[in-house]
Amino acid sequence: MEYGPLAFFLAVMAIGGLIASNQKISQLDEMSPMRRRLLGLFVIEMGGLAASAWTWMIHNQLLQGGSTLCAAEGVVQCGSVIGDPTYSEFFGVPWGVVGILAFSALGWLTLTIFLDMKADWAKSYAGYAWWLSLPSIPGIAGLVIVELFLVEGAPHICPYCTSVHIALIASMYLLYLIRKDIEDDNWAITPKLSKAELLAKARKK
Amino acid sequence: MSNKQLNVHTLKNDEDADARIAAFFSISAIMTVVMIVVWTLAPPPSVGVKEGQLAPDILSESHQSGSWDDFRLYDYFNHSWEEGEPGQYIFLQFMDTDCPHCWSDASDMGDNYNNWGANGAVVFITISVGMLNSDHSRAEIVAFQDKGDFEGCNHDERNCKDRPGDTAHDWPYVDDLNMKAFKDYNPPGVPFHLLLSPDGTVVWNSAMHSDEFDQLHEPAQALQYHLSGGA
Repeated sequence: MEYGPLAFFLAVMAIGGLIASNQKISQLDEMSPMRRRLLGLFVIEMGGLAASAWTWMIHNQLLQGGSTLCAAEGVVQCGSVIGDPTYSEFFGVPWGVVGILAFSALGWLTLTIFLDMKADWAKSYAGYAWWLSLPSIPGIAGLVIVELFLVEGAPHICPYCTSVHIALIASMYLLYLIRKDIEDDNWAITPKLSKAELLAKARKK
Repeated sequence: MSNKQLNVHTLKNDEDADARIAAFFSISAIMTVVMIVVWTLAPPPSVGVKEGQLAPDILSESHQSGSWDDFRLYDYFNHSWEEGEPGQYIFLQFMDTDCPHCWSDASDMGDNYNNWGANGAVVFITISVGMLNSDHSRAEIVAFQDKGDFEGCNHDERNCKDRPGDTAHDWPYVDDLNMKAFKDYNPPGVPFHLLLSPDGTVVWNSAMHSDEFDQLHEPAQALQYHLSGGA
């Protein structure tokens, strides 16, 4: 139970990264690069949301004693970080809940754009998502400093917290690429299919 | 009529739908699943000062035996404790060194400690707050605790060495002059008492037994009730 979910969350994020990349995936051939990027971004955000929820559950358990959801001893552990009385909350709100709210907001913005890329608000929503993701830079930096220097018995690395940080950084990177593509007017470019692919597509129909 | 002609921003198969609404329902569905998982596997504890709730944590420094040390209330909890097992209960008192009722409560606290604390059955902890509009200091807290020679207790009008009670209080006095714990616990006034079971659950809250005819009105009655198997 300690690291199984972590592997799952990281796998979801890796799948999201693969979808967003230029890697050839036959099932996604019909999607434009931008659409793939949005879908990959959404998958990564949902991985981050799930990992955030897991850290909240660990926090809940630690308030009532030990946690069965993550190791409590050693350098790589959650107990000293998520169970820290001072740094485990943000203005009284557990960081896991902050993560859930952030990823659900980002997920909503991403999904709206994905569902209707032609809407006139779609591009501006991509901008909103980018700006919304920016506070994660000082957030991640602060939490890593807490892990390495400030918690009791530091340094400690909280693996689930790190998976959330990875999801945030990956989301920010993809949002940066999306914004760049918008600036370069690459919003609605559809993939060019070869003659053979076009023929196969026509036969399918 | 096609979407293009209408120039509306709709989903592919539904002219009246808006992607933002569809995305909202999708995210809501995902959030619902997440919440069900959280509430099934590890629900957030009910933290508060009502009887049955987990007492909020207190982080500060406490004075005992001549020195100030780091204090965390949750360090006193035994989370694996279960009803009927032996374990140390925790008696919390919120007080202000300048409050007249706290001044007279000091004697009762000493008596209760002698009956329940000295033998280790109950851990006594006093949270010294800076609620009243008068001078407060750590020196005053120490003087109140130890019956030391310090002018400034009881509305700055009495010497702390004259406070009721025969002896120094041999339990931790926690510095809450910044009122952090006071705000978290939000007591109706001081003195305010709580009795916690060994796992940190509030089993008696003095504010919930303020009626003087209540059988658990006095701290001594609550201690007797909960520690003598009356519960």
